Parts: sequence; structure tokens; C-alpha cells
Amino acid sequence: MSLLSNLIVHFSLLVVLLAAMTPLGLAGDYRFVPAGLVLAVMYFWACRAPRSLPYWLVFLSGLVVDIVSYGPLGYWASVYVAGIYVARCLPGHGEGRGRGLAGWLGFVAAAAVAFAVAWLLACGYSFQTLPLAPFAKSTGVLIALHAPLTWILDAISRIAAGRPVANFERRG
Amino acid sequence: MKMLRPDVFQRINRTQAPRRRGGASVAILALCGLGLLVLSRIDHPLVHKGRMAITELVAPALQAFAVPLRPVRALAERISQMSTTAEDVQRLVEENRRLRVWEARARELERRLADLGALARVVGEPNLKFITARVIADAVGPFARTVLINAGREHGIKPGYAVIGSDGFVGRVLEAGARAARVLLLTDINSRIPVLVGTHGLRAILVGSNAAEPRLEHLPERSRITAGDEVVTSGSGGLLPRGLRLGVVSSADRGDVRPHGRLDRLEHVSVLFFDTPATELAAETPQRAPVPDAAKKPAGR
Repeated sequence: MSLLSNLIVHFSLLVVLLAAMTPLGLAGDYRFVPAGLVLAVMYFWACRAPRSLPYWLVFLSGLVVDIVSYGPLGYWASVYVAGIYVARCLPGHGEGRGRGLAGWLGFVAAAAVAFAVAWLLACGYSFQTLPLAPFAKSTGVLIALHAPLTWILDAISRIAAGRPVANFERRG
Repeated sequence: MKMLRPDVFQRINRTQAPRRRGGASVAILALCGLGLLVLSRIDHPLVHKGRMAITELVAPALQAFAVPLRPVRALAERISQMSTTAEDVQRLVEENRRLRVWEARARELERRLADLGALARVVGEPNLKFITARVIADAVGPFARTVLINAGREHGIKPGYAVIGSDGFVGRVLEAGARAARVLLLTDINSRIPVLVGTHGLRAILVGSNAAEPRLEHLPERSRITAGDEVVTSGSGGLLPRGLRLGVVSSADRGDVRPHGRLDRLEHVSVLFFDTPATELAAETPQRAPVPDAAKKPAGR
């Protein structure tokens, strides 16, 4: 496992974690989008460089979000682990196939399961049925954001690996 | 497929791709997650220990990171505002009309009050000191409505202090670290603010519910409130100064109050140094963890 791949994965994860905790002024129904972006980045790397993203790191990232956002400990940690487990169960995982329509559909599945877990845990923790709308809307926004985010991460990984973007696309 | 140049990610994937899905790891971590959730739910002291310390460690990074993200934040706010611009203009025109009338009345009342105060030798309200801080993190989960600010005990902040935004009261300090403090917003499920409603000054408690609009409870029997009634802090209990603007009644039937400030878009807030014996008591009281939406008792904090 190369040091460079680990560095890129961990650095991108750190950046998106900080972004998730920084106030972005989003309306109430979309307040889970920043936390969901962390899942999107994790999904990307779970498909492309799974060795660089062990489960403990996924869990730890969620724990940091829980601590800083003053939520109950273990909430986002469990949600992220559930989402990444789904990503790793998908066919073609670990072979760099998280691209195109298959990659997008895989993310739809991972995000749907993760936010379903998020809603169930929130209901269980609160002992009441919480409104589903904020979770559903945030999932929708994340699914829409997946393509541009994947493009950005793809470009970063290619630049870091010293490969021109066009060559990489042709190989895909 | 011809490899043009080495690709670290591709190489890893081809040679070292794990076939295992990590079921055992997931099971262990899921148990850990559930255990931590239970500890948080029962408000275990272990959960509190270190939370603020870790938050303080992360705070400088969050503060630095907020700077390059300002354009993103501005864009998000602009998109959110676009949908409500027409309504806002109409509301502001109406409000401006009413305020012109009130301005004339207020000037007259101010003059009379000064005269009467001089006659009665009334002790004036002390000028409160304050500090302005930047919001560096907010809550991203379904549980708490809190924000983190980049000022703490080193700047004189104590738990219980009132926090105001440009449009009025937004919450109070929940816990203070050395260089960062957490503010409990008035919409949080744990927030209870003694308030005065309307021109008659009806006493009530403003109760947060994690929704956008907190609700008035414990209004006097047979009291009548109307939509548009102003809601201000009453100062009862001595924790908060009296007369801080909170919001207006948006629904008289349900007692919903629309806060003046956009609590999801706070960027800078001011912490009022309002020291009373009650504040000192609050500072000495051990901090409690957030308890989510439903099962919180009213006297939680």
C-alpha cells in the first residue's frame, strides 16, 4: 500500500470532515447534507482504495463529527460504518469500478441505507417517530452531488498520481 | 487496457483488493456504536469527559477552515434567500410602515421615561459588557441545536451568559472551554426561556422543540395572544437580562414564536457578560449532555 494513496485518502477525509462541521448556512431540512458529504467521500475511497479506508477510520471519523457537533456519541459513526459496509458489499468493489452509472447506483444504495440507519437510530434514541423529510431531502441532495464530487476526487487522485486526466478517462 | 503511467490507486486495487467485506469488524464497531449511544442516552459522565477538550483541539482547525469556505456559505445563503425574496420584501414593507408609527411613539415615551426616572431617582440598568465571537461549527445531526463559538473562558465567558445575534437573542452559553464555548440555541429541545409576550407583558416560558419555531408554554389562563406580538426575555430567575428581543408570535393558536434571528445562518454573535448569583450557580452546576427530541424533561437545564 503506497504512502501517497494513504495520504490522499486521509487528507481528503480530513478536509471534508472539517467542511462538514463548519457552518454553511443550510436550511433546516438540508442540515444533514454536510455530514452526508463525508459519507460520499468515504464511498469514493471505499471503491477506489479500500485498504486506505479501514472500518476503524470510518468509525473514528463519525465519532469526531459526533463529538464536535454535540450529538450522541456513536451516531454518525454507526451511520458511516453502515454506509461503507453496503459499498463494500457491492459487486465490483475494490476493483476501481466505482465509476459511471454503476458507481452512482452504488452510492444511491449506500446513501439510502446509511440515512435509513440514521433515521432509525434517531427515532430509537428519541423514543419517537421523527419526520423523515429532512433525511430524505438530504439523501436526495447528496445523490445529486455525487457526480460532481466524484469528478473532483477523481481529478485529485489522478493529479496526485501524476496521470493526465484525459488518459485516465480513456482507460476507464 | 494499457497502463500509461503508474497509478497508485489502480495498482492497489488490482493487487491488494480485499475480498472480505469485514463483517466481523462491522459487527464489533456496530456494538461499540450502540454502546456509545446508550452511554450518551443515559447521560453517563464518561461521555462528558473530554468532549469539550476534543472540541477545543479541533476549534482552531475549524476556525481556519471557515475562511476559505465563506464563498460556499454565501452561495448557500443566496440560494436559500432567493426562494423567499418576494415574501420578505412584502413583509418588510409592512413592517416598515408599522415601525414608523412606533418610532414616533418610542421617542415620546423615551423622553417621558427619562423625566420620570429623574423624578423617581430610579437606579438604571447597568451597561452590559459583551464580546463578539465567530460561529465556527454548528450541529449537523437531528439531536441538538447548538453552535460552537471561538471564544471561551480566557475571554471571560461563563456558562449561562446570554448570546445575541444582530436580530436579537439567540441562546445562552451551555459550556465554556478555554478558547471555545458551546451555545444552546433557543430552538433546542432543552431550551427554556422565561419571556414576556405582547404589550401587556404576559409571562410565559419559551420552549424549544428542535423545530424552527419554539413554542410558548405556561401562559396565564384566559390570556390572549395574537400573531405579531413581540416576545422578549423577562429576566425571571436572574439568568438572563430583561428585555432582549426574541421573536414574534407566528401562530396564536399553537403559541409558536418565529425568532428574529436566522439561527441556521449565524456567523457572528455577541456574548453578554451578565453576572448574577444565578449565573454563578449555573457555572457551578455540572453540565448535562444533550438529550434528544422527545424524552427530555422540562427542567433538564
